[in-house]
Amino acid sequence: MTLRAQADALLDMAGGLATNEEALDRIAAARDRLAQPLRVALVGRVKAGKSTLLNALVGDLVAATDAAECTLIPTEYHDGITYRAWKVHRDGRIDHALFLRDDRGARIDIGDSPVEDIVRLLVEFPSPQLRDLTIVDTPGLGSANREVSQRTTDLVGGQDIAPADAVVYLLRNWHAMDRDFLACFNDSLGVDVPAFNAVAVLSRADEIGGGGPDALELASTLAARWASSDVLSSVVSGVLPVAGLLAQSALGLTNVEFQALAAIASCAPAERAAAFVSVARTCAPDRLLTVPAETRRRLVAQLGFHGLRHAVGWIAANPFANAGDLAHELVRQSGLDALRTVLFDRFAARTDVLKAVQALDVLEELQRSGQLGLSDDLDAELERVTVNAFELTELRTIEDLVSGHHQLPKDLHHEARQLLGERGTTPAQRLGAVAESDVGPLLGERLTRWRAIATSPQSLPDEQRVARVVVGSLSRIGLSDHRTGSVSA
Amino acid sequence: MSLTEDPLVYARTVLGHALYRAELLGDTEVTALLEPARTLLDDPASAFTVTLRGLCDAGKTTLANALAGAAIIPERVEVPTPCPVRLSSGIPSAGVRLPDGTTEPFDLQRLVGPSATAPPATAIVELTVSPWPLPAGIAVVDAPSDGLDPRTAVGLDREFGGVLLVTDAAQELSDAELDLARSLHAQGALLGVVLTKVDLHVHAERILAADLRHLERSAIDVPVFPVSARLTLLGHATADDTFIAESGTLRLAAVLEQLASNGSIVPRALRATKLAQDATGRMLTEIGELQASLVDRNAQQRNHERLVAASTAIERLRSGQVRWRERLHEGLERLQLDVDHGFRTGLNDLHKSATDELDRGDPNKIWEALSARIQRDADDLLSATRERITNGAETIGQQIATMFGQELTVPLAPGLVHGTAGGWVEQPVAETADRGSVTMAAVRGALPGSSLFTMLLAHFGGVGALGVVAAGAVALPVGLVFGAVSYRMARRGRIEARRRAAQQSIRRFLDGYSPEASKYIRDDLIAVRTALKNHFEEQIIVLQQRVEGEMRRAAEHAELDEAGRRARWSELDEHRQQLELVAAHAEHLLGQLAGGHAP
Repeated sequence: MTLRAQADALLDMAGGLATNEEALDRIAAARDRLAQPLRVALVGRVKAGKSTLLNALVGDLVAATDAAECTLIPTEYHDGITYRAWKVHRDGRIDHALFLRDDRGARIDIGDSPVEDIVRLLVEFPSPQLRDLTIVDTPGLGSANREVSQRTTDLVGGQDIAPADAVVYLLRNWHAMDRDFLACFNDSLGVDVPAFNAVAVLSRADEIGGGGPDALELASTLAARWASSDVLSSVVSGVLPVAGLLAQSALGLTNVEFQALAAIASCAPAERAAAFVSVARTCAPDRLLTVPAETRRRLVAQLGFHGLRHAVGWIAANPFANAGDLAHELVRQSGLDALRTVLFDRFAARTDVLKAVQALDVLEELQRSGQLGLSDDLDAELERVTVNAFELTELRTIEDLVSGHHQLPKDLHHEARQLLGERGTTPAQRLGAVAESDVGPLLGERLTRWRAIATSPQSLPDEQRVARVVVGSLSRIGLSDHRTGSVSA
Repeated sequence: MSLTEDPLVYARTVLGHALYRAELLGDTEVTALLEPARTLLDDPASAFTVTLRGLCDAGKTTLANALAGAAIIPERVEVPTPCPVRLSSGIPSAGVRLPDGTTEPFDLQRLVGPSATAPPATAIVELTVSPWPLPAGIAVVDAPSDGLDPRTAVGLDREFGGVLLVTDAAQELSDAELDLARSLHAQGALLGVVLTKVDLHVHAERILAADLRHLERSAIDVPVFPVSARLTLLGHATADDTFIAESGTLRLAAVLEQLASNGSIVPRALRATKLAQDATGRMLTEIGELQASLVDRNAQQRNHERLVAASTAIERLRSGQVRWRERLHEGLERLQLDVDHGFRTGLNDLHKSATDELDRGDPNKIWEALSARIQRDADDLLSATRERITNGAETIGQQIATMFGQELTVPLAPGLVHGTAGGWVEQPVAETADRGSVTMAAVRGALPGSSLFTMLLAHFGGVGALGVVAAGAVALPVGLVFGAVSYRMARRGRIEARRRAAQQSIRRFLDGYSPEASKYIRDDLIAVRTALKNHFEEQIIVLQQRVEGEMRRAAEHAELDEAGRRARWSELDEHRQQLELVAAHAEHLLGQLAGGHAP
């Protein structure tokens, strides 16, 4: 019986014990959420680049982006048959909203409705990436308009009618407010899986350290430093540097724009260097005359200053490349792939587990607040599931490895994380098998090795603890038919 | 006197008249109070300190370097500035001022090195630079990004200087930044906003407009300077003035220069004029009392009775059995027990956490970090303990000051002493009143007659020896590389052997640390005891002298005949009229200066 099924059964059992309407409603909502895709919220301070990152992640320009603060209402993005939008009013009514796309980008027209009256927007568009995942774009925290920020706090802190299951937290710099927010998010989950469902993104990585050519390297160093800090590692499972603007600009890159970039690349290196000192010089009418100043200005706005310089430099070094190649290069540079892996492999693959965690959390809270009638059966079953569910044990062990609570030699550390399913839960992903035929031999080899670690008196306590869980995971692969896919999800 | 263009001249004149009257009245205490204010006005060397505040990676250090005209402070984006760095004009040198007031040479690379070698956050790195492109009186402080807590703005930012809130052109001002701006603006600080990195963002102009809107909505009327510090540095490095002209720092520097020559006048003149106003008010009250006693026999009698009662109360305070001495003794005993217990518990916790960590991990891998951390945590624990002694001493001091008020149930004539308000000591408090809140209210100056508290606070919190004694640096002569030899010897052994060796090393270090640290704690407690006892005994002597002085004057008045009393009354009235004129000018000047905060 999967953890999700067990959680479902527990909710059934609890339904009969509810002592009031509110408890019944919460149980029904928890059951509904079990059936929905995983909800990942993109959260961060104002202008952290959330909407830009969303566009890059879903591979479509669906969220409005601007230099000024522009996301004022939490907006959910779902997979659907066409581009359309709805607005959810404070009183629960749902109306159609206009989804508009023109040369100014995408935006949602909410008509005459005041912003304060709308609690969320729902956007639907065809997106294979969103079949197992709903992404929620949120208003910025720390906004000068505090009511706007409060909507995000409610959404993530569990006060919202449809809270998030996982969070991608965008940071440009580290502020006490960020730590408090993430700690609040972790606290809102009663079950002990801290930090697994939160990942931090060092956003706008292309602007770090003045946006020079080494900006992304600096961002990687900074992200690694943050990830190793006690404060951050206790609230998120990792820190990834991502330049969302680079990835987003790759989406809409046209041949015309590529040609303009190539024309700039054709200027003499000294001329380019003199212009690339500042945005003002890059866009000056008397410089880089091969391309009109207005086009240059638009390119800077689209790619960012770092992106423009990188793209031009790359084209100069790859004279036979085309727009597709450049788009590929920009996405590679942006660091988006690593984040996609986390979202679509780690979070999405564990949707059921994360959902079940939320359901168990609801039940525990209802029990604590006395909204469920006394039942030894429910108590015992809830405790049994919470303590014994192997999926939760795996999550906790990954968490302990990520946070440094369990210390292992470097090679064992990385292998353990992979075998426990951090980078995907299919047997092939866990074992790092290139071909299906490799799974069997690799499984045997790993099982022998980790069993030895688990039982050897030479092993340190941490090594033994982790090895026991890894052996459990490998045994489950052995027990299941690995050709059917994921093991624990 | 007339209002000139220069508030310093006006303030100097007001202060001079107040001083002259104090000398004529023979009031040496008012004279002593006003003399430092005159120095404050006349000191041309008062530096104008510009403090740069802002979020991490806003560009504070680059801006500080740009203002200094060269990349003086090393920068690494992944290493935030650990403590304030002050740049000023002078023969090039680098030093660090530690929390205990001592200064030592400083290697600048420590600012961007590993955190273990970084100076503590409470230190200030002092760099003198030559050539210095700004006027010599201007100093620039690059403050670490600290979450922009408005409370930290007090102190460093306020002393004859201004604050530049540094924010980058990548985004609009956030609420944290606006909160800081509001707080500083409300305090009357000279404030400006610098929008950095405008050379990197194509939307910089829109961000500037948005920031101006946010500031306007928050009723913060301050200038915003769009600047590219990077271009300034590039201009200096390549000797290309066009970069510097393009960068916007010239305008900022010009405004700073103007502020340094004019702006610091306002806070200096304000402070001096307020002191003059206080002193004038006290002298006027005193004169009023003296005049009343000259014309009213009953007032004379009441005054005599009050002075006798005050004298008796002071005698009570002098005797060895009074409650304040018992309270001092008890308070210090309790503080010692409390501090000892806290320190020992802290060391035990440290030992336990280290042992647990060793149990969990491979000693070979964690030893270096763990040993450095334990050493640092032990130092932190000792620093915290010594700070606790300082805080505890201040609390005891406040409690005793309250008891002084209870002993002296008869208030002295306000004119005799120089508190901020009517009496010199807190009035007896009704039994039902909450002692803690009353004490705190008195400390904050909310109650009338809190002058003794003011004196105490000045003593404890200002230049008082106590603060210096108790906040001294930790310089333990114990072996800091603890147990290294035995640990290395065991390095090749089995993990358990290594673990045991590491645990023994930690135990040995902490065993050696404890007695050395206890010595420092004991010395602090002795210093606190001596300082508090001396302070209150001195206070009693001062009070006694004051009462005796007033008694002497009362006796002189009593001996005067009718003509003599009239002559004395007229003499005092002349002083009163002149002092009222001084007070009116002081009030007028303060009104003029109140509007002059914004650059």
